[in-house]
Amino acid sequence: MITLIVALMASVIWTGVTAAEELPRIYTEWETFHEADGLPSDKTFSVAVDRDRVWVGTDRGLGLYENGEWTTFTVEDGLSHNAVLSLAVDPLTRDVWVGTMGGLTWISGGRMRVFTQFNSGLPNDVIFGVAVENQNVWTATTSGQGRYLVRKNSWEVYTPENSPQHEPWGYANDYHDGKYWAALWGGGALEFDVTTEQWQEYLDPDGHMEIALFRDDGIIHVITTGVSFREGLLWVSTYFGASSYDRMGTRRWRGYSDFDTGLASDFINWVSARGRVAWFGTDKGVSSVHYDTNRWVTYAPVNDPMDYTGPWEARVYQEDELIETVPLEQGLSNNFILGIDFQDDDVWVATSKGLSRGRWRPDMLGSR
Amino acid sequence: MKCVRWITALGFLLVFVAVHGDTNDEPERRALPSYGSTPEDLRPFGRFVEEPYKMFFVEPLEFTGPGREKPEPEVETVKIGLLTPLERTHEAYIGQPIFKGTKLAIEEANAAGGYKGKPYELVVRNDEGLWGASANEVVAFSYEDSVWAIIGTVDGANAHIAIRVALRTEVPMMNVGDTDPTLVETMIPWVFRNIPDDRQMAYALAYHMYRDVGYQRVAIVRADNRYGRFGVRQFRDASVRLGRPAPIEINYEVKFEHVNPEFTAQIQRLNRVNPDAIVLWADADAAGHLVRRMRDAGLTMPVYACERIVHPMFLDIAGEAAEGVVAGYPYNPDADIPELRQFRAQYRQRFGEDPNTFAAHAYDGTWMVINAIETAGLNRYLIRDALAEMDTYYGITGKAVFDDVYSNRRRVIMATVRDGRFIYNEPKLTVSF
Repeated sequence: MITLIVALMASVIWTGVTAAEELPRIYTEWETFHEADGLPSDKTFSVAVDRDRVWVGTDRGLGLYENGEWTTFTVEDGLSHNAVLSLAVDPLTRDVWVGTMGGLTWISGGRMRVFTQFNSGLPNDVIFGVAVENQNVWTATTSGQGRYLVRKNSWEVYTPENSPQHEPWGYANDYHDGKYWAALWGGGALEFDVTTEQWQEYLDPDGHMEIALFRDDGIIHVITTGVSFREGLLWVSTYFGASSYDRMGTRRWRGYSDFDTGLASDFINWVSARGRVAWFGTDKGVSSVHYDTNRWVTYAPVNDPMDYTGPWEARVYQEDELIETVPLEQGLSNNFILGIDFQDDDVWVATSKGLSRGRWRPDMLGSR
Repeated sequence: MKCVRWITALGFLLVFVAVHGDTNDEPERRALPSYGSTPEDLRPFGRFVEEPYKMFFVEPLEFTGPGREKPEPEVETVKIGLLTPLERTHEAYIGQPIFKGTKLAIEEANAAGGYKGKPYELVVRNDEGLWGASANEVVAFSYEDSVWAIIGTVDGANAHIAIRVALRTEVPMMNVGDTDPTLVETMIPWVFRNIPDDRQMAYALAYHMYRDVGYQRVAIVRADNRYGRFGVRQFRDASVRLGRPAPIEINYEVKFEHVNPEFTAQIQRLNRVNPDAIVLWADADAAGHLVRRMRDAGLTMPVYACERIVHPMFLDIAGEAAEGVVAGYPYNPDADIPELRQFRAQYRQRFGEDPNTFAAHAYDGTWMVINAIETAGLNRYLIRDALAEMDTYYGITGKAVFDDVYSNRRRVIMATVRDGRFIYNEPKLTVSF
């Protein structure tokens, strides 16, 4: 009887959610930004939202979008390098941490401070990922994980010598809910519990580069490219597909590939989660999936995946079954996606040729 | 059902023999039966799982990003980067021949008129082997030097670090000296490798040692770095899959001369285990010292090794103890190829020494890049495409056959020390990879 009541309640709740808003949402209105609009460069590596501001890392400087205007910052303004790979914003101080190909730049109060491997404890100057954890800042570099303790003005460096890193090559990182995560190139995913200061690594269970033995046995491949942790769910991206791990619940892994889901491509450069929806930036467009329903929405060029100037569409899948195709009046600026962040209900997407913004229009298609 | 299985098995056998036979014909790209030409009996979990959830590297890599539309700029020179260990590293004995082989190719291309009359310029950066430094060097190549492609590097860890940056800066990298199998097992569509890898070496050694010779217990001795760790991995796995797991795997310190110059611990363990033979993954000097100490200690078991020991340093250090040592080798320096004879003569005349495998592959790899530039023009994306379309290449090292991850799967051979020098293609392999 109790089971029946719980099931009925869940059904009511679920029906309510579905009626109000089926996830993932379908974004039908896209806006694009290019050099001609004020971006430092069309080649955008990263994007980070700070309330009403949007920071964009490009290969020729850092862009700031505020009040409808673009401002560019380069080495002439104090940036450590013009190629900006990664960005993070401190939600409390609104300080911006800029990971470049030539060091870390801290933007605070209108001033810039540069950290390099020669003037600080930064493990390496090429910073693929940066994440803010309370009063500390983590950097994912090719020589290990660097943790800058802002209040102490000191660094901690984590390598295979003092943490369980199969390889120390950091490629991306994330912090949320007391856990720091790093995607390691050749080292799977690495978890650091801030309270206990304990590390745990997650590797590909089959241990082989050339195969994935089973779909749901763990990380699909040991070469990982992104991590995102929200609502107890870990999402891991690779160039071989994606994986999720119910870290705080069932502790079960699930694998996702382009042939058995709506994923645009197995070559995934980036993953960001919002709630229980993960967004994947691939080489053939953007895909979003809801963990509980395995419903996918993929945004991709209609014809060839590289025909980004042609028509685009949103494809809705239930697992691997295409159930709906929605033409887009305006597509994304490019199919090769390198970064994603969220601004209220909108989504910002950094691509290899321009920046895109998906505007949430509940009065339109997505609210059905 | 049994009949179907027999027909399937027979079909596989025919394909396997056709591809792995010891004829001089190299396999064509599309005829490679599996990734790395892995035979059925060496397939991971092959005895337990009919087919894994996914098999990687069996479709051509693709780059779907923009950039091909960029116009060709005006330049004074056409810059090609070279990242290689030249000094302050134990791998300089590999990096120096790479530099020389590359230099010869660039000079020849310039003598032939360069690129549309513009000379090629080699921009050289030292790969010091310091952790992470290769990342900074590729950034400099990409943004400061504005090279069109990069050749290098040798160390497996540094090469991995370099290719990750090359993926972001979108510059083609031609590897001519890193035999770590995992280098190309990354899905990065900007990486090419023209030297056969340790996966092929390990398969060839395993088949020869277990099947042809019939050893039962083969011990593994390796350097305690990434080169040793990943070099022997496929041999270790192959030993298990062929039903003869290695009785012991012994490391030695890369800086052995400071901590263990006599290799005492390694020799004691070998003495205790008394294997039928040894597989050794080591640098030339360490291998020379180790083999000499082994023979001095009365250990007479045959030694099979990696291609790095095929070097005068190994012969000088090991002396008479080197006799009979067998090494896997990526190409046949005595092959009847006129261009190879000419290269060897030029190299000897220019540098006063014989070219080794790294010099020869650097020469071929540089010419591959030059040819790609001349086909594609000055656009990194189109140069990448031109390299990706290169299914085969006929160079001084023979016919290169590129697989779907752009790695040369030309069959490897063996070389044996006889009367103080290496004799190539001996022993002749019944099956090669």
